[in-house]
Amino acid sequence: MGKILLARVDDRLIHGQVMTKWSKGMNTNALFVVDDAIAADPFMKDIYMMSTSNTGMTIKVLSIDEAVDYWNKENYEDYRVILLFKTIGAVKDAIDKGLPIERLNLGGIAKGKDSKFVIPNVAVKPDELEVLKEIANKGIEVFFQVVPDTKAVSLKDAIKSY
Amino acid sequence: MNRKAVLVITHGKFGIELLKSVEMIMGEQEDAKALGLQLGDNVDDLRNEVEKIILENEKEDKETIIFVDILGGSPSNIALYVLKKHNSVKLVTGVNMPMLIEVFQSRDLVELDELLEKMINSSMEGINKFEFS
Repeated sequence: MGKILLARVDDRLIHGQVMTKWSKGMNTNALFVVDDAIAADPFMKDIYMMSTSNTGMTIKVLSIDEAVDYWNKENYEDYRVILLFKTIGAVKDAIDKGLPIERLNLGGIAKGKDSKFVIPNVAVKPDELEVLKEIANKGIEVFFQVVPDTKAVSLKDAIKSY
Repeated sequence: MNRKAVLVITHGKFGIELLKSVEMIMGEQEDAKALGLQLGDNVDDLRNEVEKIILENEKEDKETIIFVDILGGSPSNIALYVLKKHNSVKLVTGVNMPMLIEVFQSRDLVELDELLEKMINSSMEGINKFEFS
């Protein structure tokens, strides 16, 4: 049976920090990009596959529904997985559909019009903060951290300083 | 032989400064650009900038060799994107000084595929371990 080690929200999905920092050290052997748009786009899918071709890790690009089905049917086989999402909304959707996520890392969200930085590189909107609270209420550990070497900020502390 | 343009893309100012360092040795180079992705930069903006450069090069019948720092990073994601879209593009990862020196020395002398081989060989020959016994 596989395991979801971490879910991460990062609008750049797979990139240097993810490849060199997060995927090593947790005994990860797979990265799944969970994104409806990219899963439906063979061109972008190819690019993410190529960008990880030398890592020895298994890379999959799945839609949210595919990610949920794959868990329900095969429990991700023997993969120890980091799931990568572009948005907080997408993670919420996946959790609501039953993906057993235990730890949620907010690692990279560019600043938009109504959003505010919680830590450098991670900006959230007020309504997204509410969504994160809901997620945390399900017993999921929610934390803000760009790379493992930097200090993690808990959701509780993030709310206090927001 | 088509002219080969050089485009270096890295995390931070590494590539921009690397190109300057290489020009200290090789002199100022034409058709050589470097771009850096800074913390907080929008990746899509950088990709648009890269694509603009590729299109300009194509208009002038130039092939573009893109050099990036590491495979799997955002600069390499951008480069893979344009590589897949444009036939005039080649991509090399792990950019370093011997690699760029070789490209500037040889780009007008050999065809593209041979140039890529030469560059990669020069890079590997540039890494040595020395010990005094």
